[in-house]
Amino acid sequence: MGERIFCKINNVDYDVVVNHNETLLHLLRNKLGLTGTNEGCGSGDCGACTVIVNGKAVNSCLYLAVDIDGKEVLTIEGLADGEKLHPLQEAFIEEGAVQCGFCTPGVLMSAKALLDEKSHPSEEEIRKGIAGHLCRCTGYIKIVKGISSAAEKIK
Amino acid sequence: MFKPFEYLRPKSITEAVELGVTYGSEAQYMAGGTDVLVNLKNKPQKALKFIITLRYVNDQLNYIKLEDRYLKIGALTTHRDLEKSALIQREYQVLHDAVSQVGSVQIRNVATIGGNICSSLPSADTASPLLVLGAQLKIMGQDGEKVVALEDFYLGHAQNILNKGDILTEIIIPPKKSYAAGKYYKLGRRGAMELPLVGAAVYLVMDKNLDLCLDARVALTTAAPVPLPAKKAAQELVGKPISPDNLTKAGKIAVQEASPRTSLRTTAAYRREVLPVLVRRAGLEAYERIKQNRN
Ligand SMILES: Cc1cc2nc3c(=O)[nH]c(=O)nc-3n(C[C@H](O)[C@H](O)[C@H](O)COP(=O)(O)OP(=O)(O)OC[C@H]3O[C@@H](n4cnc5c(N)ncnc54)[C@H](O)[C@@H]3O)c2cc1C
Ligand code: FES
Ligand code: FES
Repeated sequence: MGERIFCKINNVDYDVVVNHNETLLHLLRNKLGLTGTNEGCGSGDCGACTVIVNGKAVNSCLYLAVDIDGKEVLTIEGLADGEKLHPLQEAFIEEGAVQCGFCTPGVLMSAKALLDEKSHPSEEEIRKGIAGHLCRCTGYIKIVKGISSAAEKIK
Repeated sequence: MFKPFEYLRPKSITEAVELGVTYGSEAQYMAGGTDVLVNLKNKPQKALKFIITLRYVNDQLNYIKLEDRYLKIGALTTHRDLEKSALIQREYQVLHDAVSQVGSVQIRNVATIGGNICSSLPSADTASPLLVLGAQLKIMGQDGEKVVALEDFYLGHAQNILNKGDILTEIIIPPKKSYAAGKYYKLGRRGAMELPLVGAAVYLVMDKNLDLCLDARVALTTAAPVPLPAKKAAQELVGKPISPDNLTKAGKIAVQEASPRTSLRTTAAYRREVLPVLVRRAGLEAYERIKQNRN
């Protein structure tokens, strides 16, 4: 069943028609062409689909598109400021926290939500903050380093 | 994309109850949707035509408050809000142990305590802590409101006493006793994003000198078809000092009360082996907390 919704994604107003059985992930990737958000498991286990809805990190594969009516969504496409990378993105490059990059957009969104909530998380808090992500390449240590070094820079 | 359904969005509890009654087994309530949507994806039910979301009655059922020393939690409160609540952190540590370990931040940001209870799985992390805290549930249905003890709520694996249209609205925890605390131990493989292989909650009430246990409660997770109060095990602790030996004894009794099965995640034999260890650890930690809270 189709329904018209209004929302803000990466600070752009959208007026779109979605189906009731459609996930936010599907809307982003298949209708809006925002393919930076990835689909891994489709069931909440891997974190590849993580986006921020009204300030909170959520799995877009388990979030209905109709439910973002009236809300604000931030995806990886909205993280950089034009050509200028976000400090988290820079830190990930510097620390070598990106290899194949499949998990990266999701991890960055969780990291962003974490730092927005707490500007200087402990290593333990960072680990808890990204526990909802699977990365088959980096071994996580570099990701944790990337997030703490970004936290230093954002100061 | 999921199998097609119509998404109904009542704005009040009464309206939600009416829709639930009208559509019966063709409909399912949804709170955070982390169980509903995963089930819809993995094993879609043929009959399901309507999903009735409770998200839009959220404002009425999203709270954590003390009233006459009773703790009241709205059924739509997320695990994340409970995890961050100073009141839960300070006064209800055994519940905090559970809510801070459900899934991941992303899951906790949407998944609700009410959904955790209503899915009625033996693996639900909040169940054992709520059982040892003596939780009661407020349920709204077409004939009005009723309050039932959590331990009378479960009927079997994924089964509970809710009738068509019934909505869990509130979780009520009776006043805290002095010299009392609990601990929930969840055993998993990777410490995140997983249901417990097995778990145990122990709650102790001690005398003023912390020498004698005045009251005790033990509950087990993934140890039977339902979250299980282990009453004989708890009885074993009462009237005695808390010691590793006494707790191990209680743990062994708890295993006899349990009926763990072999599942995808681990074997019944393993569950039986580790349960007494978890009961001992949880008991010792609960005792430590009582000491710390006193100081
Ligand atoms: C990746 C992942 C990891 C997970 N990890 C854990 C974990 O570590 N520990 C754990 O315990 N669980 C875990 N879960 C399961 C799930 O997240 C929890 O059980 C959660 O609390 C369910 O809440 P919800 O609001 O999402 O429920 P929903 O999916 O919305 O609903 C669950 C059930 O309850 C019913 N329901 C919901 N609210 C009400 C109400 N107020 N009145 C009547 N019926 C209602 C629904 O009809 C449905 O049958 C995990 C799930 C995923 C996807
Ligand atoms: S695709 Fe959403 S968590 Fe894996
Ligand atoms: S960089 Fe390859 S999955 Fe994380």
